[in-house]
Amino acid sequence: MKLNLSIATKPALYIVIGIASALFILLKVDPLLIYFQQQPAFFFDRFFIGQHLNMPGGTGQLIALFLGQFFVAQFWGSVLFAALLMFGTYTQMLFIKTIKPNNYALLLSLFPIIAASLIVLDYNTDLQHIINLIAVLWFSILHLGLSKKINSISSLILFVVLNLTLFHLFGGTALLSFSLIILLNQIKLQKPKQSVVLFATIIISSTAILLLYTNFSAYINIEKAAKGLFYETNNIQTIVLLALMFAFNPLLSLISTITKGAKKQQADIALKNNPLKFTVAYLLPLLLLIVSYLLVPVNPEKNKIQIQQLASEEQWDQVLEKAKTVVSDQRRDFFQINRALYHKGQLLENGFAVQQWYGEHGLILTPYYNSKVLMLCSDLYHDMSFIKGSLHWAYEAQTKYKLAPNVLQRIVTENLILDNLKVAQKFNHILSKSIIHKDWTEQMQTYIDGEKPFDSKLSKYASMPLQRNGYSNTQHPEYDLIYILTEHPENNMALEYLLFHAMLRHDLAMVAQYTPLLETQNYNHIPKHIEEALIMAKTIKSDLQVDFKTLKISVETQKNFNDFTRMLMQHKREKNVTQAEIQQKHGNTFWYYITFISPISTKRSFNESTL
Amino acid sequence: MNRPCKMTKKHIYIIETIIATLLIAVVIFTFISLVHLPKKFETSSNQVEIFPDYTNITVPLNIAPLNFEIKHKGNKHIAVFSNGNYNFKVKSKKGQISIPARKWKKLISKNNPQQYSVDIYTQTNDKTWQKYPSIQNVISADTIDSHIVFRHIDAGYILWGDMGIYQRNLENFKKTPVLLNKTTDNNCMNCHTFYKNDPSKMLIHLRGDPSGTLLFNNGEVSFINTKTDYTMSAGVYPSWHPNGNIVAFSVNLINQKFHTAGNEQINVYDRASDIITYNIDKNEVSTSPLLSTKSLENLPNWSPDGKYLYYISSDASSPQIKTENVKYSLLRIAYNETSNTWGETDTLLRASDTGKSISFPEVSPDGKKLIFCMADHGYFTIHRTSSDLYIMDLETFEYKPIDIANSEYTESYHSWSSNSKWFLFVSKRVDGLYSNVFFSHIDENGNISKPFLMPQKHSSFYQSSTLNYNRPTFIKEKVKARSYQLSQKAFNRVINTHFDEKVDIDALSGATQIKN
Repeated sequence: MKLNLSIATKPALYIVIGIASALFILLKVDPLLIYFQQQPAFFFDRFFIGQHLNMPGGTGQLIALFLGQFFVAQFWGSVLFAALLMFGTYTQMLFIKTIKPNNYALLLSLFPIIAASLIVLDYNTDLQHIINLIAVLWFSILHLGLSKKINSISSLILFVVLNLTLFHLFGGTALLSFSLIILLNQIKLQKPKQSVVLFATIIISSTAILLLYTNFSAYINIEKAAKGLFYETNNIQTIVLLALMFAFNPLLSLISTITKGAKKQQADIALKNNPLKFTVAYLLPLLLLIVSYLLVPVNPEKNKIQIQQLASEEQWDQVLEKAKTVVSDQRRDFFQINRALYHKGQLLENGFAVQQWYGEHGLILTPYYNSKVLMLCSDLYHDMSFIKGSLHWAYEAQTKYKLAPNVLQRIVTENLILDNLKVAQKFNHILSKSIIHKDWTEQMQTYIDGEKPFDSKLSKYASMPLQRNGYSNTQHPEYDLIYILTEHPENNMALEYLLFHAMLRHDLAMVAQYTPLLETQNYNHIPKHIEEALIMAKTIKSDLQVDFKTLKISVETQKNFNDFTRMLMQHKREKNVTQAEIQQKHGNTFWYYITFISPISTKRSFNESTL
Repeated sequence: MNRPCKMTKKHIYIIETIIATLLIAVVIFTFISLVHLPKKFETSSNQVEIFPDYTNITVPLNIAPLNFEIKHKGNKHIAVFSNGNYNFKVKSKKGQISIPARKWKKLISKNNPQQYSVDIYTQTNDKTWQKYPSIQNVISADTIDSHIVFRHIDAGYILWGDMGIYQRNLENFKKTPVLLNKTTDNNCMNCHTFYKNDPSKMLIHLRGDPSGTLLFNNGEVSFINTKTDYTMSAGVYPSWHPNGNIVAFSVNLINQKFHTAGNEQINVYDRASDIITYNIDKNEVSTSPLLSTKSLENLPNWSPDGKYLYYISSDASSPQIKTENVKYSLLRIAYNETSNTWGETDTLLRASDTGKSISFPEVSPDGKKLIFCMADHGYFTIHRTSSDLYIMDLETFEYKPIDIANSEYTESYHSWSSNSKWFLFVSKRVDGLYSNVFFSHIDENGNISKPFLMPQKHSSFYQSSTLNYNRPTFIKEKVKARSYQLSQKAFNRVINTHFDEKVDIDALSGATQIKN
């Protein structure tokens, strides 16, 4: 029995594409990081769905949100992504065969598909681009298929209806791409007059749709409408890939209009009898796909996002491991590393092993807040059981991230701890409409209803409420820490952060003032960096008294200080000791930080702007 | 030659089958839709619990259906609506009663009914029916203004995301945007104000970039900058003079602080504030030495005859007083429109007498009453749990709390309807966080009805809504300005205003020249 290569090959091709795509996103990208970065949420709620359907492109956005939430599970997210790309490939091939049956449909299909896959390397772009591409292709197939059976006027009317529908459902990029495809495909080069009419109709109707829609819609302006998906991104690579994706099919349409193609029956026979053509038609595209996936570099942001994601799951050991391999210039990465150091009991012992380039602004983020650090501000205060502070920042985050699950969860837990049960109930109810978070909300509901006491984690956060009302100090968070310690001198995180913050700011008086609290928190020795700060403080102010009852500054540290001072003098005066040599011996000290790293000493400024 | 298509027996059979199927479907559907009251039921002595609480209220005859949810658990629920002459039933499995609009309209507005009742039946799990005591609501012949305009904002305080000014038709459920910040580069927008509840004249502030005040005046939009070299800020809280050509604004240096404990999130206060006026025709900002002092003059509100400007003021000159804890008194100053001159100030209610801080004075359009807020301190009462509503008789200057409207949560941002028969306010009583709109009726004797929550198409709306209704205001009809018209103007060059040369700057106590 002869094997029908066509029947056997095609499913195999899709399977290979699917597996390659799944492995690409699983190993090179990591869908969990996409989920973490974007926090997509889809709620089976009429108001949530209705809000999206009101806006141009809202349907595409809804679909992207629905699919994107499954990225939380790495395996299933990869499978979903693969399925989407397989479907996209199939659609693309169908479109190519509609406009111009030929042997190389698969090869051609993979260009936009590869572009679509590579876009996810930009962790900030959701699946709308793939969904939009698929939508454009189906609408084009529909129009081109029906146009053959109706007259040209009906075809134009159909175009306008489809274009309007496509714009409302999927936005400006879809409108533009569809218009170009139809325009370039339907131009009759042999009949210039007809082409001019067609050209004019398509251009005018597309422009009219954009203008009239934005004129009567309060939801979108002309710029946003016209730019579509391009409006959402500043990443040059993403913009280029988007342009390739959506320009590809119009270009194909133009080529198909200009050139003639082989008939289908002849194409199949030609392939069967020609191994070279078979290779080019089927094997080369797969090779192209696999090589693209292998060769494309990993986004350098991946490791940084991983630090954030690991910190969000309190995987502190892994955060510190990752920190060793990442050179970051983002203060939020320093922030997480410092959190990890604290949770591993290392902040006051090895905090300066990390080059604290941002000084105190890499420890507490509130003085320079922007949309990227709002939840981090909440995270820190949540850690510290400063629940009201945490809640404030969660509300700020909600203005930017609306229904992001991590924000909603924080609002639920903080209000639950503060006994604002109505608010906790409301947000828990909203989150319960997501299939991903249903289990979590059911557990929370038992707490809200008083059916169960808090678990140990929640109990811990609820154990240090602030009773005395005052005002928080966003610009000088050290006063908030003092405030916390006044009511709860047992709050270890507040103490360690206060001391480290003071060191980062060179406030040695504050270090000296609050160090005795270490005794009340049952420390059995003075942490290394505190010793270093106190020794330096005594050098500046020799009569400085620190009221310790049981703790003593070690002789070892004093010796190290003397050595550091000697090396420093040699470095500055005799120039026979390099900074690298000092770093090698004393890099992990407060003294090295204050001399060579501190932004106060080095007068370094950073560009992160407030919003 | 084409022959006409003949209908064969087969075609006729198919058509008949389709028609018969449709008829049967209609009959079945009609039968299913019929609601039968239970013949046997137990009468409960407990009041029915519904949300929103639409019991013992007074409703205007042009309000949208008051859909609600029955809170009692059951397999089936039936609500019977009746006004004595007309009745209808609504059934629901989940307890969500959605009232058909036509039937509702007939119930409350045809033949001028005085009241309507609602009887609720609930079938419990053991298949027995409970009937609750009837709900009796009054129908007022006083109509309510057809629309309200408000800003939707999140619960954040420093930052903002999507924000917009919206209008809601109170006669149905239609909510449409007036202006969204999606179309103005995501800036901040606020302080939408209308001339005598008339949307043909309105203004909206934009903050951030672009920044200015959009003024819509009988079809024309202009974008103005009310900040001058002699005033500490652009105009903030506005009030239209009844002549339609002057707008009083406050100018403020605003701060905010966040609480570390307690049930309030934030305290918004002014380091300094004054009152100015803006003359639209002259494009001129002016003030008076009596309105720009070292005290904190704020929240101007014109009387409907334009003869008085009501406002609040606090003496912040004492170093013992922290500005974040000041208490405001209620004052008014006479104004002569013809000569553009001001009279003397008159303190109507002192903070020292009440022990509280007065805020947001709003005179009724008929000039007879004034509603204001009082809270433990400050003027930005939307963040004060202690904020309650009070009403003052402007003939006797006696005042009293509107106990029926007040709750343990914040009440603030009140607004009068154009006929002075209804007022709205916001309250955070629904969930303790978000401000929602309530309406109350006030009759000629000053009796105020129990407030009712603004109805929504779906009674579950308030469970899911995470937006505040900020500064809702009654308007008599739909906003005339088009969103596109407003947003496009925001990107034009702003028109700068000039300061009135006739104002003797030295006569002012210097408060207006405080730099930010």
